[in-house]
Amino acid sequence: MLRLIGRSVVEGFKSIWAHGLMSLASVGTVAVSLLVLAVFLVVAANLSYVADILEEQVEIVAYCSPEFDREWRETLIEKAEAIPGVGSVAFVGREEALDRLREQFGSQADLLSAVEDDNPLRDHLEITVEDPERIESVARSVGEIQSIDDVAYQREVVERLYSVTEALRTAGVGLVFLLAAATFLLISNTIRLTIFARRDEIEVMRLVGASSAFIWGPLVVEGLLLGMIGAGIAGIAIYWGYQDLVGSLHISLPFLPILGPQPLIGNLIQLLLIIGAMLGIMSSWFSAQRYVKI
Amino acid sequence: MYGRETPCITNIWLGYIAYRMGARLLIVLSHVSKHYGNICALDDVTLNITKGEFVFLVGPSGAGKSTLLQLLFREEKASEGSVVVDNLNVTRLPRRHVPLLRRKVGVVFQDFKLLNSKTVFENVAFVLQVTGAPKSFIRRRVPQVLNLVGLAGKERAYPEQLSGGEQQRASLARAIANSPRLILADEPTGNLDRDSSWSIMRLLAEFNKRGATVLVATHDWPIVDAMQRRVVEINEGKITRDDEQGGYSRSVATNRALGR
Repeated sequence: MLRLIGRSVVEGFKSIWAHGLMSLASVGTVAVSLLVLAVFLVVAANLSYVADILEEQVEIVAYCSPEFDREWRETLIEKAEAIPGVGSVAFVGREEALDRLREQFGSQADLLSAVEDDNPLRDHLEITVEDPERIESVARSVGEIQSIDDVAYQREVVERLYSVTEALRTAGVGLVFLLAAATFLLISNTIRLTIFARRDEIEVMRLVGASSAFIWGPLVVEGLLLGMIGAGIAGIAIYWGYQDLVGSLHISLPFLPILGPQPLIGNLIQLLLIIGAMLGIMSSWFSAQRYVKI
Repeated sequence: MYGRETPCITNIWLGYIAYRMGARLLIVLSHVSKHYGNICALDDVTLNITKGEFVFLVGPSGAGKSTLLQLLFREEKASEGSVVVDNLNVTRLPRRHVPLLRRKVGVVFQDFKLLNSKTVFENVAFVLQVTGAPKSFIRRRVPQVLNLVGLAGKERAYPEQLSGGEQQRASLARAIANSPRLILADEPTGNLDRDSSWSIMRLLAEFNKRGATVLVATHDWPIVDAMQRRVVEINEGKITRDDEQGGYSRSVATNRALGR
C-alpha cells in the first residue's frame, strides 16, 4: 500500500514535468478560478464586517433644517427626549461635526481644507435608542418633530450592505461554478494526455494484471497536485495582494474599517487548497474512469 | 500468486465438477460466440485444453485465432457461451477480479509490447512490481528468467538495442516472470527470422515441459509441422479440425510437395 502511494506520487510528479505546457495551463486556470473566488470572498467578508460594526451603533441622526435657530435647541432636545424608547439625546453643532470629521481623517485632514470656509455640514441630534428593534418607529416619531429635516439611522445602511454582500456572494458562487467547470475540463484533459502518452505502459500494466488502483494512482496524484499547486498560487497571490491593500489603506484611508489579514486569509487559503485538491481528484478520476478500460 | 483469489461459488462448483470428471482441464470453452456488431468472429466454439498441453492454433488471418486468445485473458468478453480458465469463470468475472486472472496468464505478442523507455531488466521487473512482489524477490527472479530465455548479460540494454529475436525473448521472460499456469502466444514468430522463430518455439516447448500450458496461435507452418503437437484449426470462426498430433494443414505431405 505504502509502495503504491509512493510510486503514484513519483509517477505523478514525473508526468506533470513531462507535460510542462499543459500542466502549466491547468495550474493557471485553477489559480485564476480560485483567485476570483478568493477576491469575492474577501470583499464579502469585509462588507459584512462593516455591516456588523454599523449594526452595533443603534443611533439615529436627525438633521435640523438649515434655517434652524440654535435658541430653540433645548426645546428640540426635550421634544426628542419625550418620545418613548429614546435613550439619550445630544445636540451636535455643525462646527463640532467638522472637527470630528477632521479627527477621523487624521493625517489626511488637509483633504477637508476645501470645505472649511463653507462648512456643508448641518446641526443635528444624535439619539440613542433603548431597544434596537424599535429604531424604526422611534425614527419616524423623531422625523415628525418640527424643524427636523431628515432622519437617518444605521439599520437602513446595514440592511443595504447586507443585501450587497448577499448579492456578491451569490454572484461569486455562480462565477466560481463556471470557472470550476472550466478547471475541471482542463485538468481532465491534461490527465487524458497523460493517459495517451503512457498508453503503452498502461496496456502492459493491464496485460500483466495490475489492479486499477495501480494504474489510476499516478493519474489521480497528478490531478491532485495540479489542483493543489494552482490553489497554492492563488493563495499566495491573495495573501500578498490583501496584505498590500490593507497596508496602504491604513495609511491613505485610516477611517475605513477593514478586516486584518489574519485569520481571514489563513482560513481562505485552507479553503482554496481543499477546493483545489477536490477539483483535481475529481477531474482526474473522471478521466481515468473514462479513458482507461480495465 | 501474491494476491489471494476470492473463491466464488460458481468457480468452486466448476472446480468440483472438473475434479469429479477426473479431467484436469485448464481451459474450457463451451459454445462460445463472439460478435463485433454484425461480424461474427467466433461461432459456437467448444474447446477443452488439459493442464500441461501444448496446442497450436492455426488458420488463415481473420479466422478468429486472436479473438479466441483475447477471450482467455478477458481482453474481450464472449457474446455467448462460457469461458473457464483455471477454474475461473472468465465471462462472469467481476471487473475488479480481472487482474487476478491476468496474473495467471502470460501473454506474448507478435509486436513484443516491450516498453522502450525501460531496460530489459526493468521491463521484466515491471510485471513483478505490478503484482506487488517484494524488491528482494524481484532482484532474484529477474536474472533467473532472463537466464532461462538466454538473455543473461542484456539486463541493461534497451529493447531498441536488441534484435527481434532477443526482444521476443525478453517479452517471453516477462510473460513467465510471474510463473503463470497458462502461456498464450499470438503469432510470436510473426516478425522473426527462421532461427529466432525456432529459438522462441523451443523456449515455449521448454516452459511447457516445466509445467505450463501453452497455446500458440501461429502461421508458421514449418514449425507446426515439425513439432507434431496438438493442432486446432479455426476457419471463419469455427473449429474445423482438432488433431492430437498434427501438422499445419490436413496433409503435411501436400504442403511439402508444393514447397509452401
